[in-house]
Amino acid sequence: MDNKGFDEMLATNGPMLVRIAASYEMQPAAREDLLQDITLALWRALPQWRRDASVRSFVARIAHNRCVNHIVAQKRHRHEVAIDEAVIDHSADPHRDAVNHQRYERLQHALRRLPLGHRQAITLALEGFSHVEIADALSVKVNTVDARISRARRTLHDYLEERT
Amino acid sequence: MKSRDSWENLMRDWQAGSPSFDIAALRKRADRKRRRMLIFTALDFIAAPIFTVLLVWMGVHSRFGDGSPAPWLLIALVWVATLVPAWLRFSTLNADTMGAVGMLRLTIKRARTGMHFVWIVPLLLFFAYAIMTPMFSQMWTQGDAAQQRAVVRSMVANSVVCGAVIIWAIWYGRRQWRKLRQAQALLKQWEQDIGDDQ
Repeated sequence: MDNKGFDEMLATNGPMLVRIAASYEMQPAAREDLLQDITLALWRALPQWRRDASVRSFVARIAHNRCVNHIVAQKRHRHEVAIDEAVIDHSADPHRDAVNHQRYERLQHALRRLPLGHRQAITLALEGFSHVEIADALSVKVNTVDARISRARRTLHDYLEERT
Repeated sequence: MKSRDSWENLMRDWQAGSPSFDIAALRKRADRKRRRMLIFTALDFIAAPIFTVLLVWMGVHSRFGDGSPAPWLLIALVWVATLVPAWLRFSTLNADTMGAVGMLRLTIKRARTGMHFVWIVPLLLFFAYAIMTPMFSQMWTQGDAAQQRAVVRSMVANSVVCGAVIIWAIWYGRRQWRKLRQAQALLKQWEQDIGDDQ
C-alpha cells in the first residue's frame, strides 16, 4: 500500500480510531500521542496485512493493541476525567450538541469500567462489526465474542442505569 | 431497560462521537515521530562502532595496553547497552498484529528482560571501574603532579557517570516493574474473562 492508499485507509477508519483511542484515553494531549502511536504502528504493520483479510478488522486490532500498550505504560490507571468537547462533532444546534456530548460521555464512562476483553469486544460491536469480524480483529473464537458481548451488554446497561 | 439505552441507540450515541479528523496533521506528526525514532536508532548503531574503535585503540596503544581487561569489558558494555535496547525495540514490531494475550505476554517478557538488563549495565560499569582503580592508584602514588591531577579528573568524571547510571537504572527499573505489574494485571483480567465466558 502506497502513501495515498495509507491516507485513504486513515480517512476511512480515522473516526473509528479516535473513538477507540477515546475509550482508553480521555485526556486530549495523551490521546493525541496515542493516535500518533496507532498511526505509526499501522504504517509498520501494513506489510503484514493479508489482502484477503478485512482491512477494518486489521486496523481495529492494531488500534486496540496500541491502546493496551498505552494502558500498560501508564504510571497508574487514571481516574475518569471529562471528555473534551473536541471529540464530538459540532452542529448548528448547540442544544443537540450538548445532549450528544452528555450521552457520549455517559457511554464512554460506562465502557471504561468494563473489563478489558469485554470493552474491546463491545466497542467493535458498537462500531457495527459482526461477531466474526470481532473474533478476527481480537484473535479470539467467535463463541468467546458471543459470550463477551452478551455479558458486556448486560453490565453496560447496569452501569448506564447507575449514571442515570 | 430504558428505550434510550437500546442497542440501536447506544450504537448511534457511540457513532455520534465522530470527531473531525485532520489526517494531514496526524500523518505529519506521526512521520516526525517515526523520523525521530529512526534517528535515535541510527545514532545508537553509529555510536557503538565508534566507541568500539576508540576502546580498541586505547587497548592497544595506551596504558590500558598492559594487559588490563578494562577496554574489552567496556566494549562488551557498549554493545550490551546498544543491542539489548535495540532487541527490546525491534521485538515489538510484530506485537501489533498479535492478539491482546500474545501482546501482553510479550510485554511481560520484555519487562522482565528490561529488569535483568538494568542490573547488567551498572554491574559491568562498576566492574570496569574496579579494574581501573589499581591503575589510577599506581598513577597516584608513582606519578607526578600532572598525572595526579589527571587521576582526580578521571575519578570525578567516572563518579558523575556512575551516579547518572544509578539514577537511570532506578528510573528504568521502576518503569519496567510498573509495566510488568500492569501487564500481569491485564493478562489476569483477560484470562479471568475467558474463564468466565466458558
